[in-house]
Formats: sequence, structure tokens, C-alpha cells
Amino acid sequence: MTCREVVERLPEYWSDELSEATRNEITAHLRECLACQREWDFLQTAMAALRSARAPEPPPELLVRIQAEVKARQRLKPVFVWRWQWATAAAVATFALLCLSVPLFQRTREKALMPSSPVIAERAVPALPAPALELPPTVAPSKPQIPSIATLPTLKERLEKPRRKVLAERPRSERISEVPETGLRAMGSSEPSQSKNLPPLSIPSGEQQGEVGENVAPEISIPPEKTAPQIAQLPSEPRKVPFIAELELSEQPRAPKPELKVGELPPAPIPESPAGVPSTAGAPMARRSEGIESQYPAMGRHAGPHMQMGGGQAQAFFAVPFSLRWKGYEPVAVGKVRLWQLSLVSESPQVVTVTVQPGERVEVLNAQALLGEGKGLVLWRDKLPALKESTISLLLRVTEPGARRLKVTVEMADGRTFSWWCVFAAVEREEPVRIRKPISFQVEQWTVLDFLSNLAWESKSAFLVPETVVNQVISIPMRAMSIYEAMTLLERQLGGKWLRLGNTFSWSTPIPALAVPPIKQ
Amino acid sequence: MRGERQSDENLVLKAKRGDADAFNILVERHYRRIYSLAFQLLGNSEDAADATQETFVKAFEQIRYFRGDSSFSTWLHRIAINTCKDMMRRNRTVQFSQLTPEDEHTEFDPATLTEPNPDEILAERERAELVWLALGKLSDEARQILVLCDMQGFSYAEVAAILNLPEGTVKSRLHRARNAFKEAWKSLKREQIEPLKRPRGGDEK
Repeated sequence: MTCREVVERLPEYWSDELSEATRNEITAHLRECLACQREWDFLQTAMAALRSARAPEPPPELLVRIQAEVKARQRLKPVFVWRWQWATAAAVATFALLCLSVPLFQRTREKALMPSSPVIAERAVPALPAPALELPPTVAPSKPQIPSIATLPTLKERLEKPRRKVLAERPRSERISEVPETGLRAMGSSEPSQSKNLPPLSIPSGEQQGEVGENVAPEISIPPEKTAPQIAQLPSEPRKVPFIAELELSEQPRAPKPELKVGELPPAPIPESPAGVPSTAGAPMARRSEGIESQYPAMGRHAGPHMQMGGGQAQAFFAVPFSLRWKGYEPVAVGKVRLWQLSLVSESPQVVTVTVQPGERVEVLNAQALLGEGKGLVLWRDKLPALKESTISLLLRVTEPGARRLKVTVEMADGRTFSWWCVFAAVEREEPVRIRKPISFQVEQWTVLDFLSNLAWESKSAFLVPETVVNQVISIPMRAMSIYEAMTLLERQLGGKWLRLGNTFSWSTPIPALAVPPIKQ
Repeated sequence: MRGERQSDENLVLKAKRGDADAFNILVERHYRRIYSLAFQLLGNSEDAADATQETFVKAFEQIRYFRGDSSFSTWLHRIAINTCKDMMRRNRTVQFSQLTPEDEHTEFDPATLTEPNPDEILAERERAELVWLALGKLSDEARQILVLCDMQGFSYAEVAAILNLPEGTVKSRLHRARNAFKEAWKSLKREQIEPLKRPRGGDEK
């Protein structure tokens, strides 16, 4: 036997599957040949290592995840059956109707075609043009149809609708028209969460944004007579409408009512300086308002002492007795169940209810009972001991790619509520999560929520941000920067800190406990 | 009632009627094994978790076509193997060399949470890592067969059933795969262990 033959048969020798004669031959060879002996040693150690190598334990949440997915699939099945049954029923019903109506049709047709009764024939003929003649007068008084303008009144209507509705259809389309002209080129990047803009969104790299923007721009062309005043007013009232919508959303009972009713954000009732803001919040906020004022004087006035927004006020005026943080997070892939874990810590013992309002195309599988009135689904209800962490699981499934949001609300027994937005991005397929690439910004003014949606999309990470911050306007220079730089800018302007866990960020304010609530219930 | 263990067959029958709870018991029974198979084939925990999930979802959707010719476990492994193959094809960039946990989701890695002795773990991990690296150097076919026979401990007959191959082919492929693994192991040992030893020897002297 040659060395080559021996080496080839070593695996069989190892597993003892050779005839005795061959085995003896190889044993003898190994005793004499050092090279083959070494091969044999290697095979033995390699096989021992291979057999002893253990795959790590599966992630703890995997079982829950799979079982939830299976349950979700089961839930889909009956729906299909029902639809099928309904379809059959509908088909039968249609057929029956057809059968019944055929003789009727035939009779009327016969009558209409029959020349024997001239009265009917005469009537039948002019009967057709008659409505056509009547039409013009009815159409004329109706307003000219200009779709782009028509969206504006509907917004006001929408705002008067119940809150739930507003949440369901946040006025995204209106928001587009509010972006300054300079920003129009960057629409692709500024509206990441809009599902209709999906094609541009699916290009995650920053360099391609310009191209994307050009593609989108023609769609957003606004009649000049509409845009002109808007652009002129923009610095003083940027993205006015979305704020109102957000205000409607914020369920904080302490938020002053009149501002909700105002319907606009005029600079009039707002103090010029951050004097109304407690001194505890002074430093970071003063810096912020300065920063903004230098670029947009009027802007600074209403974004600086961020008080006309329910959210901003909450941060400045009263402490949130809870902290909600990420504990665990899995990047979201479309169609897959992902487990997120939130940790909730309360300053004092409480019985709280955690509800969630899934956004469009977001399912929260472990949220069950309906609370009604736009309050969302109950996710968790329990007693919270003071300063002890409780973990809230969130099993998510997203059906379409894009930047997505959902709102988590913590309700205390006394009815006070505090909300956070989870802003994240779901991708079609597993993509490596790397957040080192620079992101370019082509719009200067953002609300925090929009900005974070964009960041979430670009960086494939997720943000947890209290509602006290989401509505604020921030100013970001129009250039490329890394996500960390963007976050630092945000931190500076908001006066808080972003804590990072894995690929998630959660917001914390440095001084919540010291702030004093000025408004009593 | 008292923790009476239902047989897989029984649960499969229920699952065929669309009983997700019954199927979820099967999931609980088998997911560790499927996960380890997926990990051994794919080389990282994220993909392995996804492949495991996909396997069970596919199994649940296809269970009415499961005729019971083989055991449920064999059938499941077949699905898992195919799922992993698809994933490997889809994501050629997944390499076994990524095993060092520079991964950002370490919070979710159970291995890091339940470590008793760091030294032991390190040695163990080093060796395991070499195994994954060596496995990563093999062809998909060789890797599959090695994982099934030597890591998962299936018999030739079972592997033949899972891979839908005659037993003789399984045997011959396995021997070839073992030799290939030995070669990969050898080259890795030379590349990685020897340079590590040299400076250590220098220190001692």
C-alpha cells in the first residue's frame, strides 16, 4: 500500500470500517511511516475536535419567536378559508341573481325593441339624453377640482376628527408640500417613512440620494401660487401642520388645552426668551435656542422655549416618572417576527398599563386586547416596584420595508400617560447592520421624529424617544455626516443624551427628576 | 394531564389539522437541534436563528404533505438542510470567520451570559472556532455530511434519508469529507497555532 492510499483510507480506518486484512496493513504502515503517522494524528485530533464542538445554545427568545410566528400563520389560515367561503357564497349569490334577472332583462329588452307599442319606443329614446342635459347645471356650481389644493382643507377636517383617525393617517402628503424648496431635492431622504416613496427609500446609500431626489421632485411640484406664500413664511412657521397633528396625538392631560385649539403656531402667545422654562433646564436649552436663532431668527422663537408643543413642554416642565429603555432589540427584517425588549423603571411603586399603537404595516403580535379610543393595544399591565426594572417584550412583525414607527404609552393608575415613539426601519432582506457610513442631509429643518425616521432608515437602527421630544424642530446642517455626528447634534439641541445598545438608541434627559411640574391637574 | 408526553406522531396528526399549539410543542422539542444544525452549517447565530425559524414555519405550512415515511425529526432536518442551503446560496458572504463576537448584539448572545470559567471557555472557544473555520473551508456538500454524521450524530441510514442519497454514497462522501476536514484542520493549525506558540515560547525563555 502506498502512502497516498493509506492516507485516503485513514477515515475508514478511524471509523473502523475496514476489513481486518486492510486494517492490519495500515496499522503496520503507520508504525513505519512517520509522515502517515502524522496524518493519522491530525485526523484523530481533528475528528475529536469536530465531535466535541458544540454549537452555542440558541438565543433565549428564539423559541418564543418561532412559536409566535407559527401562531401568526395559523391565524392567517382561517382567514383564507373564510374568504374562500365568502367568495363561493358570493359567486353562488351572483349566479342566482343572474338567473333571476335574465328573464327580466329579456322582457324589458323585448319591450324596448318592440315597434308595436310606439309610446314606449318614443319614450325610450329621449330618456337617454335627458340626464346628460341635466348634468351640466349640477356640475357647474361644484368647486373646481384642484387636487393639490384640496388636500389643505381636508387637513383641517382631519384634525377635527377623533384622535385615532389622526394617528391612522398622519398628514404625510401635506407635510411634503411644507418642506422648503431647497429641501425638495432631498425629498427621498426626508420622507423615509412614507410607504408610497418606497422605491427611493430602498436605496440606502447616501450618495444615491441626489439622484433619488431628482426622481421624486417632479411629483411634488406645487402650483406656484400655493408655494410662494408658504416659502415666504417658512422660516417662521416650519412644518406647522404636522405639529398640530402631533399635538392632537399627545395624550398628556397636563398639556395646556388652548394651544391644542389654536390650530396654528403663531409666535404671539409664546414668550420670547426661555424665561418660562425652569432654571433646571436652562443650559442646554439656551444653547439650543441660540443655535437656531442664528440661522432662523423666527424659528428660534418658537422652537427655542419648546413650549407650544405638548411634547417639548413635558420635557421642560415636569418629570416623567418612568424611564423606558431598550433592553434588547433585533434588527427588523420584513415578514419576520422580531423580539424587542423594553425595560421600564418607575420612581415609585405603580400599577401601570403599557399600551402600544402599531403603525401602518406593523404588527405587534403579543399585544392583544383593544383599549379603544385610539389608545392602542394592551401590551403589559402589572405592578411596578420602585426603581426595579421590568421587562416588556414586544413581538413585532413588519409587512413592508421602510422606516416604521409605533407608539408605546405608559398609563398610570391616576390616568396620567406618557408616551414614547419607537422609530425603526424594516428591511426586505437581511442586511449587514453597519452604521459607519456617512449620511447626507439636504433639508435643514426637521422635527425630531422625521429626522429619526430618516436616521433609522439610513442606519438600520432603532430609536426610542419620549413624546416630549418628538415634535421639536431641530436644525441640521445640509451636508454629509456620520450618524454619530448627527446624534451629537441632536443631543446638543435637545439637551439630553442618547444611550446606545446594540443598534438602538434610547433617549434620556439629564434632569428629569429635578423639573417641577408647574401645572397642577 | 400529568406532563404526559405526547408522541411526535400524535402531535403531527394534530398539527396537520392546523393545531398550532400541538405544532409548537414539536417546535419546543426540536428547535435546539435544528438550531445547532443551522449554526454548524451557517456559522453564525443570527443566520442560524433565522434559518431555524424559517424551517419551522415551512414545516408548519407543509405539514399536511408530511406522509410519515420517515420520522418527523428526519423530515424536519431535511427542511432545515434545504433552508440552510438556500440561505448559503442567498448570502454567499456569510463566512465562518465572522465567529468572533465583534457582533453588536452581544446582549442577546446566551453564550456570554452563562459562562462559568473564562479560561476553559476561551480554550474551548478557540478550539470550536478552529472547527468552524475548518468547516467553513469545506464545500457545502462535505460540510453537510460532516455536520449530520459527526456533529449531529445521525446514522448513515438517517443521513441517507435526510439527504435523499443512497447509503453507499453517504459513506463514501463522508470519508472524503473527513479527509478534507483533516486537511483544513491541518492547514489552520499550521497557520494559527504555530505563530501563537512561538512568541509564548520566547517569553518562557
